[in-house]
Parts: sequence; C-alpha cells; structure tokens
Amino acid sequence: MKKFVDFLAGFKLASTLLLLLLVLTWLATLEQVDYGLYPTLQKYFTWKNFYVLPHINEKTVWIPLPGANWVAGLLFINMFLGGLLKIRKNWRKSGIVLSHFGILFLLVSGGVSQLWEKRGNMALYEGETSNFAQAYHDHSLEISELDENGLPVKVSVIPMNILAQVQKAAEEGRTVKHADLPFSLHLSHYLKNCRPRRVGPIAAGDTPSVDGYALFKMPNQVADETNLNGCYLKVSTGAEALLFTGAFTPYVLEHEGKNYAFSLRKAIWKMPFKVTLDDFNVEFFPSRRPKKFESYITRNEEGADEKVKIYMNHPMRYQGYTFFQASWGPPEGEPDRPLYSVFEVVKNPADQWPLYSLIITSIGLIGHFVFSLGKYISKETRKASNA
Amino acid sequence: MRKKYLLALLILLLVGLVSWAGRIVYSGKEKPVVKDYVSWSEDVIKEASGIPVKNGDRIKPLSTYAKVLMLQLHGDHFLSFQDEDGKSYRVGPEGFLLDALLRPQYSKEMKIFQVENAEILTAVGVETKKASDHYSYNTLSPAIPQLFKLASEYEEEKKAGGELEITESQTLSLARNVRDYQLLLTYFNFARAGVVLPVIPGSAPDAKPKFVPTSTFMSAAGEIHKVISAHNKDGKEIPSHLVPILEQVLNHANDAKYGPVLLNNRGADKPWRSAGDGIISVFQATDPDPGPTIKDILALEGLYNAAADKKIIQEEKKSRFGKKTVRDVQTLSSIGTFKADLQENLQIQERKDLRREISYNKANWFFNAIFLCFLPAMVLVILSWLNPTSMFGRWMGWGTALFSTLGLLFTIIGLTQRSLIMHRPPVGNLYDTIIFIAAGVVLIALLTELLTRRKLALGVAPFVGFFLLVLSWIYEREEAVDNLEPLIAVLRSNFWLTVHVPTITFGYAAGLAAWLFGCVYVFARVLGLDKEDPTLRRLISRMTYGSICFTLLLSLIGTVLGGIWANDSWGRFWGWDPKENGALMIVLWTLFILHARLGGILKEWGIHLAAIVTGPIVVFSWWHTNLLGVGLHSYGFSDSKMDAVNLFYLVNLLILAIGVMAAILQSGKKRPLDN
Repeated sequence: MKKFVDFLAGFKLASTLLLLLLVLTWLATLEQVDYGLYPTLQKYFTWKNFYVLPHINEKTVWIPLPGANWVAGLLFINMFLGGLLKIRKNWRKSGIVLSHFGILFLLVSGGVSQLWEKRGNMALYEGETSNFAQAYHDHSLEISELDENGLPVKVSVIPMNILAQVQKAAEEGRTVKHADLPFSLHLSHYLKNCRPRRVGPIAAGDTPSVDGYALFKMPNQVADETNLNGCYLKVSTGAEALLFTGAFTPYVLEHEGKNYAFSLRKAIWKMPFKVTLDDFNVEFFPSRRPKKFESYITRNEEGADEKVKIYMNHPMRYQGYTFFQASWGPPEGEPDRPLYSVFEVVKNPADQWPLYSLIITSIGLIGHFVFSLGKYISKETRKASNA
Repeated sequence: MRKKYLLALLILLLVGLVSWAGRIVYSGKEKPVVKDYVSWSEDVIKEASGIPVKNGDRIKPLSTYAKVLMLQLHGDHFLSFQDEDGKSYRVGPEGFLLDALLRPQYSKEMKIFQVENAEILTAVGVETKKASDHYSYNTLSPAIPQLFKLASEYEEEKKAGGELEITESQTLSLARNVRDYQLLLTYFNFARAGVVLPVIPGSAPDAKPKFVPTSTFMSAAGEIHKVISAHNKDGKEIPSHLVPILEQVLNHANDAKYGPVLLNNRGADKPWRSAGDGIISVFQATDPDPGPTIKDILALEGLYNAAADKKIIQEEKKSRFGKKTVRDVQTLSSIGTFKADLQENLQIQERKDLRREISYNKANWFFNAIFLCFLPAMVLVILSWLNPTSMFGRWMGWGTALFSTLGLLFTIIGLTQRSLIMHRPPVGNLYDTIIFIAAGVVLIALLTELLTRRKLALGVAPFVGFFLLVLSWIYEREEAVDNLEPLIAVLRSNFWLTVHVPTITFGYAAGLAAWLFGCVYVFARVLGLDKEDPTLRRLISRMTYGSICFTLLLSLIGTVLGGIWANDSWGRFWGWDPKENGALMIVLWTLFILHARLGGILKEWGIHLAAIVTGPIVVFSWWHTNLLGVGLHSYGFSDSKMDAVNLFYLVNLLILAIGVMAAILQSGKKRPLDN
C-alpha cells in the first residue's frame, strides 16, 4: 500500500502526467484546425473518453492516449499527495507548497466551472428589456399550452439531458412523460444537423416522413452553434410531427379542446433581474476596425433600478451573473440602421477563483525563486571573497 | 585544434552574415536607366519627411507612410537606378513618394513593382526574365487592363466565398499595388493641368483659350455657384461654356480624391480630406469659409510648380555641381509652408506624437543596434575567445559587454519611443514581440554573465540580439504594414497590456535563453570545447536550469493573468485557443523538466536536451499558433513563415539528435547534476 501511495505521489508519475498533458494539449490544438473547437474539446477534455485516438492532418493515428480529464484528475491526486501532503515542510519548501496549493485550487476552480457554469447570450436593441439568456449549445423542447389568443399559459420543458438520451437511442427513441402534460411523447431519430425536405422516390430522408416531408441529415458543422437539430415526434394521441430548430413556427397540437405549441430550440434560462439597454455606442477607426463598443443599461430588480455601463474588459458582475460586452450586430449594418448589443451571460460560482489562485501561486513561486537566487548569489560572493 | 576549427567556422559565419546584410542594403540589382533624373536634395527629403499624413487609423509623418507604401510595392526601403550618363541614384521612401506624386515621368521608369511570381505576369502578357523580379510602371502599363480584369474576377470569387490559389491572390495584390500607385500619379493633376478656359462665343476673333491655376478658378467658385443656381431656378440649362470647365475641375477632383496628401479640415472632430474632396467642397459650397481650402490647394500648386518644372530641372541638370539650386530652395520653402499650416491645425498631443515619430524614424534605433552594436560585439567576442585569459582577450571581453549593452540600450530606447508614440505598453503586435524578446534574451544573457563571469552567456548576447533584430527587420519588410497602428477594442486596456503581455513575452525570451544555453552545452560537449572541465559543465547546467525556472515563473504567471483578462473580456478563463494552449505547453514542459529532474529521470545531459526542446515549443506558441488559420490569426502569404518555422523545428531535431548520440557515447563519463 505504501509503495502504491509513494508511486501515486511520486515525481515519476508527475513527470509522465505533465508530459501526457502537454502532448494532448498540442494534439488538441492542431486538431481544432480541422475539426473545430467544440468537437475537439468534446473529444479530448471530457470524462467520457478514457482514451483518445489523435488525428493528424485528418488521419487517425492508432496510438491511444489517455483522455485529458483523466490525466488531469490523476495529476491532481499526484499533486495533492506529493506536493501538499508528503512534501517535507520547512521554510525552504514553503514557496513550493504554496504554489502547489495555488495550482490545485486553480484546477478545482476549473472543475467547478466545468460542472456548474452556465453560459448563454442576450441580444438587445436599444430600449429593449429582457431577463432571459439563451444557451449556445444546449437544446430543449418547450411545450406551451396556449390560450384562445394563442398566447402561452403554461410552459413545460423537456430538458437537454433527456434530449441527449433520445439522441443516443437513435431510431428506437424514447418515451417522455411530463407531469403537466395530459399525453406522453415518443421522440426518436434525433439529428444533430438536418434540414426538412420533401421525400421523393429515391430520397427517403433520415426520419419517418410526415405529410410528405422528412428530415435529412446534414454533415455536422465545425462551428457547433450553426448546427440545426431536429427529431421525429409521435404523441400518444397518435399525432406525429417533425421538430426542427430552424422552424419559423412551432408545431401546434390540438388535444381535448386545448392547443399545445411544440418548439425545439436553444435552451433559455431566466435571471432574477431585468436588463434594459438604454444606449449602445460603437466607435470605429476610419478603417472600420472597432475602436470601442459600450452598452449603457438599466438593471431592474424588484422595482429598484441601477444604471450600469458594460464595455470591453469591464463586465458587470451581479448576483453571481456576469454580463460581458460580447459583440453587436447586424454585422454589415448601414450607418443609420439600428444596432443591437450582444452580452455574454455567465453564471459561474468559481468566477474569481483563478485570481485568488494566481495570487497564491505567484507568492509561492516568486518567494521560492528569490530565495534560491539569493542563496546562489550569496554562495558565489562567499566563494569570490574566499578566493 | 578543435577550437581553431570552431573559430574559423565562426569567422566564416560572421563574414557570411555581413555579406548577406550588405547584399540586402546594397542589393546589386540590374540598374534601369531613368533619363534626365535629378535627385531631391537632402534638405527637401528631410523637410518632406515630417509632413503630417492622415492614413490608416492615425496621423503619421510622411516618412512612415512612404516607408510602408514602398515596402508594399517594392519590397525594399530603397530603389536603385542610373541616368543616361551612368550616374547612379539610390532613392529612399520619401524620394520615391515625391517622384510618384510630383514627377511621374521619372517614377514610371523606375522598377518599382516587386513581382515574386513571374507566372502572374505571363498570364497578362508581360515578358519576364526571372521568376522574381522588379518591373516599372511603363513596362506593366500595356497589361494593366487585363490585370485589373483578372483581379476583379478573383475578387468576385473571393466575395462568393471561394478560396483563392496563391497565384490568384498574388495577382490581386499586384493589382492593388498598381491601383495604389496610380492614385499617386494622378494626384497632382489639378496642379499639373490647371483649368483651360475656352473662348466664350462672341468674344474677339483673336481670343485664345486661357490657362488658369485650379486655385484661381476655385476663388471664383462662389460666383459660378450663383450663376448655376440662378439658371437652375429659372429652369434653364447651365451655360454651355461652363460645362467643359466644370468637367475639368471634376476630373481633377476625382484624380485627387484618394491618396496620401490630405488637407486638415480644421477642427478636432472633422475628418481630414483629400485635395479632391477639398476642391469639390468649394464648388458645392458646403464649407462656410472656402478660404483655407483654397489656400491649401494654392500651397500644393506652389509645391508642384517649384518641384516639378521640367524646364528648371533640365537647366539644373546641365549646370548643377552639387550646389543648392533655385528649385531646391523653392521646393523647400513651399513644403515648409504647407507643412507648417497642417501642423498648426493639429492637436497639441498629435503634434507631440508626430515630432516623436519623426525623431524615431530618423534615429532608426533597431537598425543601428544591429550594425553599430551587435555586429561589432560579435566580432569582439570571437576575438576574445582566441585567447580568453590574455590581456587582449579580457579587453575584447569588455568590448563585447560594452557593445552588447549599448545594443540593448538602443533596443530599449526604440521600444520606449514606440510606446510613447502609441500611448500603450511596448508589446501589442507580433512585430513588437520580436523586438521585446530580443531585448529580453540579451538582458537575461547579460545578467547571467554578471552572475557567472565565464564569457559564455556574454558570447550568446550579441548573436541573439543580432539574429532577432534582423528577424524583426525581415518581418517588417515582408508584412509591409504600419506596425504603429492603434489596437482594436478588446486589446485597448493598458492595464492588461502592461501586466499580461510583457510577462508572457518575457517568458518566451527566458525559454529561448534556456534553449540557447542547452545548445551551448551540447556544442561544448560535442566539440570538446569544455576541455572536460566539470565546473564549466556545472556552470552551464546552472544557467540552463535557472532559465528554465525563470521561464516557468513568467509563463505560469503570464498564462494565468491572460486567463483572468480573458475572463474579464469574454467571460471565460480558458477557451483552448491555440495561443492559450501554446502558453500552457510551455508551462507544462518546464514543469515536466523540473519534476523529471527531481525524479531522477533527467540528469545533466537530459536537462540540456530537454532545454533544447523548449525552443521549438516556444516557437510553436509564439509563431506557429498564429499560422494555424484558426480564429482571427489567418494571414495571407503565410507560407514563407511556415517554412521558416518548420526549418527551425528541423534544425532543432538535428541538434537534438546530435545531442542524444553524444549523450549515449559519453554516458560512461556522465556525472549527476549537482543539486
């Protein structure tokens, strides 16, 4: 047992893991050129993959490498045991211990971010107000019960983890029941990127056809945000439909005198406060390069207003949410056309942890460095004065 | 014995470098003949270099503008040719620009256009001799319509989302260069041609068409405007004799619509405008007071008349023996008048920046650091190695230290001046990084020498300073852009530019220092220069190890700082962007070295071989990630840069292979690293 712990805490394991992490980072950097950032991250940096087969110039290299998350996890244990618990604790080593602690804390904050961070965006024209942010990648199926005017009364959401199971179940699909709905749904043939088209004698489509139309699979886009998801829906009432994120209008089902609108869309989440864009300024250089862009907003929470300016490098942090000035549009806007401002909205409990980690690590490293250098210089001076 | 071979090799290398540098400065191109050419006097060049020009996103001295334009068109800072009598001329950026603007008859004969691929010229019917060559405007002239036709086709293709082949994008850039040059040729047409007033019907039979300068005609713009409005009001057509005159003016205005010589629109918030826009504004009566614009046009006409009068030039040519001529004096004073007027209307800060940039351009710090400091230091250090312990050797050593420090000082002054001109910390673009890293590595080497005093680190300093500054020089020529332009929104944060960028860049410098010391060790061992001296070996090991620690410290702090900045600007600490990954790789690699050393995996040889790997990793992070074409970092013509990066990898692989072999062969004599 002791031998095993020694191995786990040892320098040899540390060196191997650091080297592996380096190689994985390097390969992932090269691979994102061909496959895009998001798919590459999904391959290298998830707990799902115990091992990866790297691709170089779009060719598979048949050398399995451990998944980066597992390497980092093991390195964490190694650092914790070797760099924090087992390391000899004296003044000379205090800087090293401190910097190990700082890095461990950084890794923890990375883990916390990966598990609990929510990220989306909010686009507002001047004068508009919103308290919703839209996710970049995650989808959800929203079923809204409508009143006689066609306005939603109650919204039921099938969240993304269920949709992921549907996707995994492929043509089998899976049945979903929601407590608020008087019917059950069977979802199948979930496609990551697809387009609806008319079914012909040769082209049968990749889902069962509905009213002569089916969804046709498209190659997955490198930029994941541009993929349009779709799936086949069969309701327990017998009705069937194709759901598609690119659809202009939702599919409406009539059941027992009530209307239900189904829309497959990017997941949205609600915030505890409202944001109104009062004023948005963009300044360009003569060459049309952006010089600065800044949004003046009013944050409204339970009737209390607060004016805030959000601009590049100066986000608004409030109630665990952080609002960043991300971009604006439309991209080729004519001079007088109204512009909208896009905020990136992030909720991350570990938001400021890297800063604390940096302070700890820097104190440790600089302390150790100055100490060692000082020792070396004093040794040299002693040598010189002896000579 | 081995030492003599090595020194011979080093001297050979030095001679090679000097002759190569000389070839760049005095390139022995076949000199074309420009008939009747008379050069600008030095005073004129000096005076013109400070004319404020609004170009790109800032106000800059004409010298900066001319230099960038010349690099873009010609690929070099100088043009060489001779006149019909065989007298040689070498024209710099300012002279090149003045000729194109004021004396196109000469400029069109000069071999201005650099064409790196003869294919694109044969495609439009121009005869070529060499694959890469220079051509005059007159040579290209017959093929220009065809060139523009092809270029617009490619442009369409590019707009439609198609990817262009390398020859196609080269054709596009040549067409762009020709177009930019044509804007210079026609710019002064308003001064060259003036306005010809036709004979008004019904005037005396012997009346002749009359010539008036454009500015004179502009003074009458108010009256003309009144006549036209009166006619318009009555529903009558414009008097027929006015039509051809207005056409001439309109043509002049169009010819001078784009181009570098801009008139200050007098007022902080008003955009500067070209002479063409100025002329139009007077005729459209959009300015409440046309007086200043007319004055500017008059000043430019005066400049043209003084500088470009063919008769004066010819007389001068016959009589001139190196003395100041009437033309010189007149040109000088008219440039002075025009410049003074422009400068007067600048903001105080703009005027300060302009003056600073003029002095920065004149001082040429980096060029002088290369040739006046690092090059002599290289010679001195080689001399000092011939007999290191003798008095002579010691003196040479001191000389090396002096010249290297001087080179470092020049580099730092240059960087500081750039910082002051741009109102931001010294590193904001790739060009800045090269200079900063040059200064960084030289500084580290000199400090290491101060601690060790074995003339090892001292020997590294001038070589690395020389090499990196030459690299920055080549980069500047290849890119041909103004690298003092202001930064885009996300980078406009002086706090982060001060804290994150220099730290990470200095980390690169430390990594390169570690790489160099590793190389020094391998060569010292392989060539037996260390004379089996264990203290010397231990010293190099300490230098390498220290640099690796320093690299880790800077890269780690710099990378985390970058993450915190990214978290403030984009809302994510880490995005696996190639540049971020590159920095992380440096951190991981140095951590690997330190831990592997403690774990007994790497010993003396191992540490140095690993230090050599640091070089390619730094270069991957510094250059390669920008060439991947992911994100916003895709540049045109990146092939030559990628080739250079690959060459660097290859050379390092070779050094590494030599090192590994030597390590295996000498493993019997291996000593563990002294802790």
